[in-house]
Amino acid sequence: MIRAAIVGLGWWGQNHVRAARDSSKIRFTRAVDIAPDRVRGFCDEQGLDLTDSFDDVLADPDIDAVVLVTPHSQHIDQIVAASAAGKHVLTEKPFSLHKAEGLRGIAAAKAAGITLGIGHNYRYAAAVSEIKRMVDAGEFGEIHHIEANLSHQGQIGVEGWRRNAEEAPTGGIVHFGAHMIDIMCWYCGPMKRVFGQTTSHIMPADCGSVLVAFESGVTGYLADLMTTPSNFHLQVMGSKGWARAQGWLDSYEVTKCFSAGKVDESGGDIETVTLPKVDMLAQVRANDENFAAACMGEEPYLFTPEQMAHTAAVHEAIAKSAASGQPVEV
Amino acid sequence: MLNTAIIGLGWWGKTHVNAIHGKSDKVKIRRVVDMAPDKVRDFVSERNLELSTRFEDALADPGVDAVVLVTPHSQHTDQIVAAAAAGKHAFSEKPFALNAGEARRAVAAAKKAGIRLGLGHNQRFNPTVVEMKRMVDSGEIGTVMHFEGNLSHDELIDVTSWRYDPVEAPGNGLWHMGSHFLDLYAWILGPVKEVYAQAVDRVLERDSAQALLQFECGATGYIGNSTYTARSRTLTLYGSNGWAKMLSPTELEVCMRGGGASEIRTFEPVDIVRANMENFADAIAGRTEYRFTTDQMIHDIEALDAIAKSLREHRPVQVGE
Repeated sequence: MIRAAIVGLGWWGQNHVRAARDSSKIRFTRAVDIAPDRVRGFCDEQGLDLTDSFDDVLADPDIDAVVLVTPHSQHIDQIVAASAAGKHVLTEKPFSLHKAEGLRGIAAAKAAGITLGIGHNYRYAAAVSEIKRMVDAGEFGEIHHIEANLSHQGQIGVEGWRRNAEEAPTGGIVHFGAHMIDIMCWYCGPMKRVFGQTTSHIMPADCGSVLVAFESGVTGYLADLMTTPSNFHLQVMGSKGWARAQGWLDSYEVTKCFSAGKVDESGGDIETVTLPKVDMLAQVRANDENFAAACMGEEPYLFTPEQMAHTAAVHEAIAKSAASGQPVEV
Repeated sequence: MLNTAIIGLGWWGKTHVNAIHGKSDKVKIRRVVDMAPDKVRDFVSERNLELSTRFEDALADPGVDAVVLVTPHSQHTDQIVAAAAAGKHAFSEKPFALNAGEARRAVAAAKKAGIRLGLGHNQRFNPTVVEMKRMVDSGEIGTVMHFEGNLSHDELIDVTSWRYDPVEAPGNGLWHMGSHFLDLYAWILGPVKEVYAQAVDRVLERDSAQALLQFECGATGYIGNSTYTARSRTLTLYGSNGWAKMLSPTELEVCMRGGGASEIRTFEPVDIVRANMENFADAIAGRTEYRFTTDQMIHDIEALDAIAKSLREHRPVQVGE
């Protein structure tokens, strides 16, 4: 069991606390929020000792780890400070939006010997895990291409730091697109070159799309729209066939087609596999518990620090490409 | 009744015959032409069609009103010009021409001769695509933000053919299946302004290729194609009011903002090859407008030219630059 402090009690920070309730791996005992009056009721209900000072929890010997649910631009300084205090850190996504910052974060963690976590809970979704299994088992043959689009309209009418151009220079690509960047790289390795474009319709940069060239030679397409009803598309295409996940964050159906050669006009021998559902809070819990077990040396963590730092480099390259209108090397 | 000659009886030429022969009261196949007659003799004799080996045979036949060109892309323009000179209407398979200059030459010859041009981008007759266009034209989908689609199959991987010639198809599958989506995007959204494309060699040359598009109307688009995977077709239209996703040629899933759960709109199946040819016949007979304008035929090729240039130069390219 590790004892953790939640840092930032907006709606997503509260979800971390709810997800970990009664866990035997991680227990949230303290909370940090810069507007404590807003969250006092929640903290009372959850038995959290509330403070408005991050330094307080770093100085607390009864805290093993901090979970950062703070604006993206604060993540790296907070990781560096937590590392210096010997606390393990799980940070929400995106890890960082700048390559150099991402590297600074993992260097600090490595120097301090602490475990780094990242809030890409989507890796624990049933369909996403199943396609990863298929990738690792070689079921696709030679993988050519991966497509990912995770769109939703949850940001319409929402003010706050997530709307800020510095926190989200490429709109939805930074928000839910960040999950897709992580999964694309989890499946296909590091990205080498990106070409990104964003357009503004209802909100700034509410439509983003990216073509990707991976170091492995695989190609990719990533898109995110912030002003459309929820829609998820994740497809891996290889020389033996393809698999696709659709639905939403709890996607648990994988549609696949592995019939070589001629298939009929309606789409060929398509098969849909239904997996046990892992809902969003269960994914968050799985991630937080995997992180906690890794902190205690009980199991390997699903993410490496290098993967986290790489996503920061990708975000920076996409933002540069969208601003310049030219392809950019990661 | 439009009397046609099918020129080229490869895989797709046979599809044309099977869509029309004995099934249409508007289009009749009067003869077929193939330069390798021994390979198609059984197919032709089973259907009791007249077979010859020279394109000129079809042009010289006074009983032929229109030629249907199911030939390599590079031959379309010369064949259209020859058909125009012979006073025959010409239906060309896609892509319409090898480059925009050739496309303009074909259109100019057709206009001068007063013949009609047809184009085999039959996805415009797919009922779910027709519904997407209706949703855009009526304002139901709102302002269009993005179109994304991938049309892939590996039915040609065992065929050593002109289709893999980099001159015939600089972006491989983007020219074959991808050009269908390019055409339908431009049909629904208007002209393409800028493209960025990439293609890689995995198992075969350029067997994975994609393009990102910007349209003059402000929307963006994506086309993906793999020529080495199982058949896959995805197509989603995103507008400011919601999205519409093709689930199959007869099923469109629609989800509107504030509208709760998505709904599935279903349509009667359409033989899109026959529908296109019959629309062409009706237009020639003056019964209706043809679904393609010659300006659109030229624009499709201008956009493909820009994609080819982007593939060569690894940079975004303005259409017509």
